[in-house]
Amino acid sequence: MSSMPPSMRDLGERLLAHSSGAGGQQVVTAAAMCDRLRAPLVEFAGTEGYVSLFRRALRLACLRAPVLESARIDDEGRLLAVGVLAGDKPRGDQHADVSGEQQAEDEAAVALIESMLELLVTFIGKPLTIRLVRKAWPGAPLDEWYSTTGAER
Amino acid sequence: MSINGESQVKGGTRERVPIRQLPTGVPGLDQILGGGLPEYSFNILAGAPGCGKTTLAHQFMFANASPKTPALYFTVLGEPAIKMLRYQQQFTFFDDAKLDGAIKFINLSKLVMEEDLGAVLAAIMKEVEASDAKIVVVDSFRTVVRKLKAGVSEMEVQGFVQRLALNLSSCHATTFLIGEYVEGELRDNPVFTVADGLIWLYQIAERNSVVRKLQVMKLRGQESVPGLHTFRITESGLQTFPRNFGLIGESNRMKGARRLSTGIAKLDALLGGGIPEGDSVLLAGPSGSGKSTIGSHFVAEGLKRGEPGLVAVFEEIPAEYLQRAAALGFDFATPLKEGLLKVIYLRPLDLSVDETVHEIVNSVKAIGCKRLVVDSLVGFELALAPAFRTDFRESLYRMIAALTRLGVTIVSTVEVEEDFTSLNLSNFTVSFLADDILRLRYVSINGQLRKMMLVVKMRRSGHSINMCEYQITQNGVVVGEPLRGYQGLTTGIPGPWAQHWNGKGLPPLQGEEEDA
Repeated sequence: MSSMPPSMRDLGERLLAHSSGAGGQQVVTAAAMCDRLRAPLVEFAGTEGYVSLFRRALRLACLRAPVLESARIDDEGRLLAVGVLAGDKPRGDQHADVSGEQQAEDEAAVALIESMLELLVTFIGKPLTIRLVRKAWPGAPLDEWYSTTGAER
Repeated sequence: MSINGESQVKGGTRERVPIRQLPTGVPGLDQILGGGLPEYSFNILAGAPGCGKTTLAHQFMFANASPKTPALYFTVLGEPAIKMLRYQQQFTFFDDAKLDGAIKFINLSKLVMEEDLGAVLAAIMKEVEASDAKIVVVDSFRTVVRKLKAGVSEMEVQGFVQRLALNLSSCHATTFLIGEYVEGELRDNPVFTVADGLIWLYQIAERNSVVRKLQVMKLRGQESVPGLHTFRITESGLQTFPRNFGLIGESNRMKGARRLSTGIAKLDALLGGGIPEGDSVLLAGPSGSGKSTIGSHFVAEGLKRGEPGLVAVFEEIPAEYLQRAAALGFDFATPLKEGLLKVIYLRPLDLSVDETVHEIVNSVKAIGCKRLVVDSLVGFELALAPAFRTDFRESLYRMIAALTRLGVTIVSTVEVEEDFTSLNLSNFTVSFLADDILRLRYVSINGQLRKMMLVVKMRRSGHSINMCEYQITQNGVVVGEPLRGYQGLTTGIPGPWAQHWNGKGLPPLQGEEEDA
C-alpha cells in the first residue's frame, strides 16, 4: 500500500481524541472505534468482510507500531491480547519506561484507526469512507476537518 | 416516469388500472421496455458473469432511489459488497449522496449459508418493511435458490419465490433478482414462472470482438420491443440501442413530395428533376469515380437552401473530408460552425449497426437534418464487429427505413469492383434498399479512360435513360453530353454502333428531349 495520506492520520487522531475518556487505554479505544465502524460495515460487507478488513488494518498497523504484534482479532472482529500493552501494566516507579511505552501505545492506537480508515479509502474511496465515519460518529466535532480536506457534507 | 392507464376498446376507451413506468436510467432501455419498468413488478435480470447485470441494476437503483422511495440492495455470496462499491462508483451514474438514506446495501451471505429459506424471507421482509423500500435488488438470487434447492423440493422453492414476490409487491416494491442463468434453465426454473419481467443479457465473443446483446424475454402488462438489442458498457454504465431506433408509430410523411437538387443541374435532369425527397439513393461506382464528390454537391446544395446536412464518414476523418470539400469550392466550415452541418466519423471496428445508426439518428434529430450522406457503405460494413456483418443487409434495411421516416433524404455511396464485361450495381446486394440508383463507371473510348453515369432505377418516377459522360474538375463534377454512337457502353469497352445497325445509321433515341 502507498504511504498514508496525512489527512487520514489526522482524522484518526481527532476521532481518537473525541472517543478517549480521561486516562483511558488508547489501543482499547482504537479497537472500540473500529468496532464502531463494524455496524455500518457489517451491514453491507458482512461480518467476514468487516473481520478481514480489521485484520488487514492490524497487520498494517503492526508495521508502524510493533507493540501491536501480540494482538489478535477473533472471528467476530474483537481485538484480543491487548493486555500486554502499557495501559495494563501497573504504573508507579517505572515512570521513564511507562512513559515510553505509553507513547508507543498511543502511536499504536493512531496507527490502528488510521490503517482501518486508509483501507476503507483504498477500497471504497474517501467520500464513502467519510460517510461511514459520519454515520459511526454523528456527534463528532469534525466539521472543521471536513472543510479543510474538501470533504463535502 | 410515465403512466399508462387508458386503452382503446370497441366502442370507446376503457379505464384500466394505471401502471406507472419507472425510468431504468439506462439509455434506450425504456424504449425497449415499452416506456419503462412497470412499478411494483418482480423482475429477473439474467445472464452470464460479466455481462453487466449488476451495473444495470445499479443504474436502475440510482435513477429511482430517493429518501422517499428508498432502495435496498441485498448481496448474497456474489461479488463482495466492498469491491462492488469500489467498482460501481467508477460509473458516472453513481451518486454517493444517495447512500445517505436513499440506498442501503445489506449483506445476506451469512444468513443464506446458515439459515433456512423462511429465515431468508423473513430477513428480507423485515428490512423492506423497516425502511419502506420501494426498490429491492437481490444479487445474486441464484445463490439463494441454489442453496435452497440443496435441501428442499422444487415446490418449496417455487413457494418461496412466490411468497417473496407477493410480499414485495404488497410492500409496493419494484424488484430485481439478479442471477447467472443459462438459457437451458428457462423451461423448468420456477423463478422465471413467477417473474413479471425477464431481461436476459448476452456477451458473445466473435473473432476479435465482443458483442453484447439484451433481450426482454417476458414483460407483463406492456408491449416491449422484441428481439436482441445491442448494448455497450461505458463509464456511464449500460447504453442500449433499440432495434427500432426509438422510432415508433406510423410515419405520415409522403415520399417525393418535392424534388431535391443535387447541385449538378444536368444530373438533376437525368434524375427527372432531382432526387425525390425522402428517397434513399445509392451512388455505386468504382474507386475514384466521384461518388464522394457528388455526395458533397448534394449536401452543399442543401446548405445553400437552408437544409441542414449530415455526413457520416467511415473512410476518412472529418478534417480530411472538409479539406477535400474545400478544395472543390464547398465552404463547409461556416455551416459547421452554425450548426447546419455535422460531419461524424464512425471508424471503430467493433461497432454494431444499431449503435452506428443511433449515432446517425441522434445527429439527424439534433440538427434537424434533411440531407444525409453515408460515405461509404463499404466503410460502414468494415467498421462493424464481425458478428454484425452477417446482419448487415437486414440492419441497413432497418436503418434506411428509420431515417427516411424522419423525412431525411439519404445518399449512400458504395464502391463496386469494376470489370469490363458487366455492370455491377453493388457488391453488397443492397441495391434493393435503394429507391434510386445512380451508377458511375469507367469506359474505354478511343484510347482514353473516361467516366460515364446513368440512372439505373428510380422508384415511382421517370428518369432519363441517357448515359452521360462526366468529368471531375476543380469545381466538382461536371456532367457532359450523352455518349452517342457506341454500343456496349455498360461493359466499359464500347464499340461503334453503326457497324451493327444494318447500315441504317444509329437507332432512334427515346426521351432525349427530357434531358435538354
